[in-house]
Amino acid sequence: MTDTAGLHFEDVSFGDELPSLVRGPMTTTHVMRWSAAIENWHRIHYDQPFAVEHDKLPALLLNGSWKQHVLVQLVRGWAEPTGWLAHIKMSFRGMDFVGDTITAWGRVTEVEERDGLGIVVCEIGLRNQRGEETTPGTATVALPLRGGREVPYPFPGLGG
Amino acid sequence: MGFVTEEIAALVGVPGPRFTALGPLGADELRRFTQAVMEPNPVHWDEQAARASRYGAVVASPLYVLHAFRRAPGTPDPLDRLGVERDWDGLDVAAGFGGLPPVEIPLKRVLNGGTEAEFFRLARLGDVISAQARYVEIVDREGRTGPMVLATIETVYENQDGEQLARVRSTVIFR
Repeated sequence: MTDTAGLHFEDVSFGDELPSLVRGPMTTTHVMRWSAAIENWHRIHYDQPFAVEHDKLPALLLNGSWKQHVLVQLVRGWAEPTGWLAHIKMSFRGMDFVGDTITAWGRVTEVEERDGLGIVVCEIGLRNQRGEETTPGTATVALPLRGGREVPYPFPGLGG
Repeated sequence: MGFVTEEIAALVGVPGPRFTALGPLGADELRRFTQAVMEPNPVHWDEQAARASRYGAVVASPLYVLHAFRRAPGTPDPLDRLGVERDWDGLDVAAGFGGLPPVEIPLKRVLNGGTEAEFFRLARLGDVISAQARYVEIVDREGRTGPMVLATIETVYENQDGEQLARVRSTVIFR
């Protein structure tokens, strides 16, 4: 890892937007692949009659367990290999369905230098093609300062 | 009047059993997961890329730990339940609670409210992941559709050397 390559604290300003990540249109096949990979048999994700007739959902549901990883990918895709995703938080506020296209987005809301590292907080979320913000959250990333030390790995935590 | 009785509130803070993955994290298991989650970072499959990175070896993505625990071979098949209960939703509710005693309240719907996670290191191929959970909060709330209960479970994930990988808080909504 050279000192100049990759994202550094000095490259980041309040209000910056993270490069967005698009997933979809998500099909039943994607959802089946995910459910099988993690061995989660919740039928609202792949059993259409069950989801619609029994659980009265409008369509098959995308897994929250999958959506949370998309937000992690969004932030790591921006911050690594120099930075470290130290903390992430998201709420499953709305439903995304099979057929939806999901856009993961982020925006820098806080920048602070602490103990020789840059600590950056981002507002993040997942938005579907209907414009619904289904999964709002925040992420905190540690970045190196230009000419400063590397972000430690393993990461000791953000502490106070 | 809420659902969170003294007895239920007393569950908060009591550590659950330590549970451990069936075996070391395998390359094929990680490949299947990485492809299903549509993870683009090569440190999760490419040895050369991984060796050149801070990780030094192929690692799982940070939230993989949530999916590290599977049903042991030879244990009862949970899908047998569909033979006697056609309308079962297929969701093993207990599995989401990390071996903690259930929150016994007369609210039927169980929803995934959200996730909060701190990451310290990523699990490497060959790591044996273990975890321990506890309730950190169980509270009554008035929701849009009526009363609900929010239970927050904190789970600490470690590797076989007792090194912390992640600390994850999951919020379960009963309503």
